[in-house]
Amino acid sequence: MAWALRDRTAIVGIGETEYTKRGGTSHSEMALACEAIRRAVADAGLSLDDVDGLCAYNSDRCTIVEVAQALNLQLRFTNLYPGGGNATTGVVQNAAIAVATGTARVVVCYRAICQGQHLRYGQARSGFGAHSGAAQAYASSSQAFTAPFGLMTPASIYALETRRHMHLYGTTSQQMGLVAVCCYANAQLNPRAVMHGRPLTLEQHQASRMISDPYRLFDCCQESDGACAVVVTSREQARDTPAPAVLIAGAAQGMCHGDGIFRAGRSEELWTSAGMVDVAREVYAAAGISPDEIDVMQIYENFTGQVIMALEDFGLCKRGEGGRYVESGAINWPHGRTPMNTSGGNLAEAYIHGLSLVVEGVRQMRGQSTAQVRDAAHCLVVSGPGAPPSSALILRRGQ
Amino acid sequence: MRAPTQVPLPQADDVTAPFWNGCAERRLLVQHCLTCGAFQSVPQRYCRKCRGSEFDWQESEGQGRVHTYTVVHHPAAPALRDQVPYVVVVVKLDDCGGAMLISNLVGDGAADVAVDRAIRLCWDNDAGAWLPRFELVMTGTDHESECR
Ligand SMILES: [Zn+2]
Repeated sequence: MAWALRDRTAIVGIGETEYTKRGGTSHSEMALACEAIRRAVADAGLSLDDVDGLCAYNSDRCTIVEVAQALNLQLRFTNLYPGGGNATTGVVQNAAIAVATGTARVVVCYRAICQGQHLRYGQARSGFGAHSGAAQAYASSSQAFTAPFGLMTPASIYALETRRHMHLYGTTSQQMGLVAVCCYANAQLNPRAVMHGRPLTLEQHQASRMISDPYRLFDCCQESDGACAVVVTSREQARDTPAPAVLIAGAAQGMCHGDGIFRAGRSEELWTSAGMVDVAREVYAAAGISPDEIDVMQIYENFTGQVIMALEDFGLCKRGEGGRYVESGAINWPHGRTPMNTSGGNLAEAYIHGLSLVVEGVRQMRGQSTAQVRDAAHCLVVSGPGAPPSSALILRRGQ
Repeated sequence: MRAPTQVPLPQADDVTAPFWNGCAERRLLVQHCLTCGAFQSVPQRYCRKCRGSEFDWQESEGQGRVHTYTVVHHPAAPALRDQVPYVVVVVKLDDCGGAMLISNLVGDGAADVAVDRAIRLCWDNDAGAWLPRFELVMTGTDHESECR
């Protein structure tokens, strides 16, 4: 359905801290969150006194209350999106809704993550098994059907769907490797990228150690430290800001029947997709464009196989063709049909739980990317594939 | 190949207790909706098909196929360091409406796991808890109810 808020709001500011490998920062997550927000607001030509709304991931340890108090904000709108990488664009949509309805004037979305100081996503959660001889750990409810069988990390969970996709469609490890190679190539152009100066070949991907078959090390997103933020306001307000306005053309979020934490109960469609078919249809309808009008895309890479399934869900290619689509070079900058993850993405720029992909989408629409797609008018941003509720965003270059 | 040990053990709640009580008796029970007849392997408060809330529990014979799998090589915690690699499978049962559950493939040939391979239930005791695990069906071998 057409979105009542199409083009009525804009992203007018972006801010990032330095991005480092896990453990590379001496600052706290709170310090990074505040710094990213300050930079985004300054980039928008606004003052912190203009900010009256905050949107965050509910997994962020920097709570809205603490951030608002640290920056001495006066708020009239707050919102938490449920989840992690799946919140990437959902926070922006929620900010846009607040602005377009007159609930708030200037809403900042932020994400700060320091996996060097806190939980590592590549490790089991809840303090289990710190040393042998520790007290017996128990897993309740949904975890009781996964943890006792050693299924405890995102890599092993998502590997299950990828293996099924490989079986049904002939998707290969090499094709997944080309997703990583594409991201690393783009990171070589981006001095902010953690993997800048560290190119990756397909041979290196194929030789990297196995994490959870079929996923090798380079199929998995990084563990990073850093923060970023974006500023959302109305299209009218955006006319007065220094940088070219980037319109929020369309946004969608959702969770389909049968999806959720109980993965064993998933339908066959969900075993071989990113679970985003409905969100994809809705985000294109919201923006009033079709997949072939997407000039550049930022697709959240939790794992390379999920990127391939997201490409299928979002109609860049047919179901089952994602691996061959990648192999064709369609995602590569600058000559591919639709260059992807032009900053290096989660794999090679930094893993700021995806919000950095929105920042890169804005840079593309401003014409300021280090891997700029010439005359790009529309950027698709896709949140964490395979994790409900999913979200997606279409940015449009301002006139 | 063996299943990982020193992992968190299942803790039952109001919805899942019949399933885990069944495991304690070495019976693989599948939740069955009395309203529409649907099976769901991971017990739910409501039927995923019709949202009904009345169930009985049907015992599976434990024959099934590998719907998908992963071989875990990277230990998610220090306690798993000397236990990798191990095989996690999504089992699609031949009976009980093709209900699926997550388990381990253990025993001879587990490293040769492949999608659609025929597998069967074997019971494994981990720190006093009986867990439903699976092994490859090999022609010419006798079925034993406990994991080898
Ligand atoms: Zn039912």
